[in-house]
Amino acid sequence: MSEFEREPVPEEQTKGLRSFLGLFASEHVAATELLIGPLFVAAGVSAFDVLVGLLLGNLLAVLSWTLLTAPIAVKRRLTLYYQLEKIGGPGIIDVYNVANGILWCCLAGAFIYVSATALFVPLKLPVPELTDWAPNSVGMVVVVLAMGSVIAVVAAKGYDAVVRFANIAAPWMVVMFLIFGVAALPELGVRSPGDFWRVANEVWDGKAAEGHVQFTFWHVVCFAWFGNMAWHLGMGDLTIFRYARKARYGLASAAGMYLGHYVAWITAGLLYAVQLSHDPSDTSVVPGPMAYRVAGVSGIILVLFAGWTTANPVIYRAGLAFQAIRPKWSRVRVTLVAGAVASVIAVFPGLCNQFLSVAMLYGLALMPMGAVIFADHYLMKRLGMVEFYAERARRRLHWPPVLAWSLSLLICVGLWYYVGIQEFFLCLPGWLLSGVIYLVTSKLAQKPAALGEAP
Amino acid sequence: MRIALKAVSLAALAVLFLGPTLHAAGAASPEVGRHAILAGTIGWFVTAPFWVK
Repeated sequence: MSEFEREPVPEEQTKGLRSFLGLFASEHVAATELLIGPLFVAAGVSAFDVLVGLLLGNLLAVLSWTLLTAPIAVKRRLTLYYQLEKIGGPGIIDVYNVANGILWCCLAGAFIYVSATALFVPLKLPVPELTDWAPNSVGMVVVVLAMGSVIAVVAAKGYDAVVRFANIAAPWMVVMFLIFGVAALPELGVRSPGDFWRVANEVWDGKAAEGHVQFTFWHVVCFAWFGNMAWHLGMGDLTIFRYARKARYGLASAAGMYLGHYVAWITAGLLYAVQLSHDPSDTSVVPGPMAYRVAGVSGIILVLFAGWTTANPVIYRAGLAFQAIRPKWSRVRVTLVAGAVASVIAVFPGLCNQFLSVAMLYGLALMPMGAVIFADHYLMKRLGMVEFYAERARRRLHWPPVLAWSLSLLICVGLWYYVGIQEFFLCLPGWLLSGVIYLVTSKLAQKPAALGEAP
Repeated sequence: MRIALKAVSLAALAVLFLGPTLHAAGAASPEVGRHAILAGTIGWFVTAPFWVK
């Protein structure tokens, strides 16, 4: 079946709004929500910050998809990769694939860890502390590596059955996340709607745990907005929305944002609060035992499969990204190697204990290419330059996008390291900077006359 | 048959949701809530594979 990787999606192959609603709802109610909700509590957000900040941040994310990503996707109907190739040449795709592959291995590591924590309960393994970076027992290492191996083998051999299972489980998962909240409320002392605000202020008490950045309202807004930056401002979802009949289908992202990044983050935070209410000294963020305490065996099943069903496609994509650099490499072997790397990363709980920063860095690393695509689409012609320059000039590597990517990231790292600006506030300036650098360097590098065409 | 299975699946989700909700409202014990979650989960996974695409 053609997936239109090097041609625009034909009009008759486009899909309706319902497809996108289902896709976003299932993609964004995933394993990492079980980390993010508790980590908000650990980061000392207040009840107002989390309830209102998430509303605003998710709204900004939905608007980013609707007003920036979807219109370009619907107008061009090309994948992110093909647009990047036209702008920067095939050489830039190699760099992008390496960056993407490495980041996907880190993400898959987090999913594997979440999944493995489901087995901590029946195996009675000691849970890692919130401040731990290294594994705290041989049993944990064995369980995580075993879980990672199984997931990697399934990803390498073809994971159709897991995709099928994920489709079946998706509605159940959404209800289970709701149930986490409903079941946690009485445990926290909520007996009537009037109790909620009092308890919410106890759950999200505004005091950060040791080793964690103190979150404010604006941290929450920026995290909700930029947590998926690689997909909206970074233009990763061009690949999805090129199938949309209309650009306003970008609003379908609201299903994922408000179910996954609002309801699920809040209910996962409540799970953590139940754990703290039983033992205030137990600040560990380990989804398996947290879910078991509130929802019993079903909670363990949810954690196990939420991690598994999201880790599988991510390892598969990481394998494809690495294999694209050298097509002669065996996809199965490359996927197994990607799975092995992800499993080793998963052994270290520090990755998941600092997942809020990890998610930001993921978006930060890929977003400059989204700014390049945006600038090329909307501003090149207006500023008297040529769109898709590498394709027209037949260049293997066109330097302005590479410079935009590397310089904007270097400046962001400099601002983070030397000025102390936190990663949560670097995404938007970095994106704008990347677009400006791309336009300025393009002005210097482009020679439209040599192409024999007017800009 | 497909419609009947779909109805059973949705009923299972309703049971899953109602158990903890009744507990939260003080009309059922925590055990009832947990049993309802497990029963709803089993009901869903036994029937949904026959109709979910």
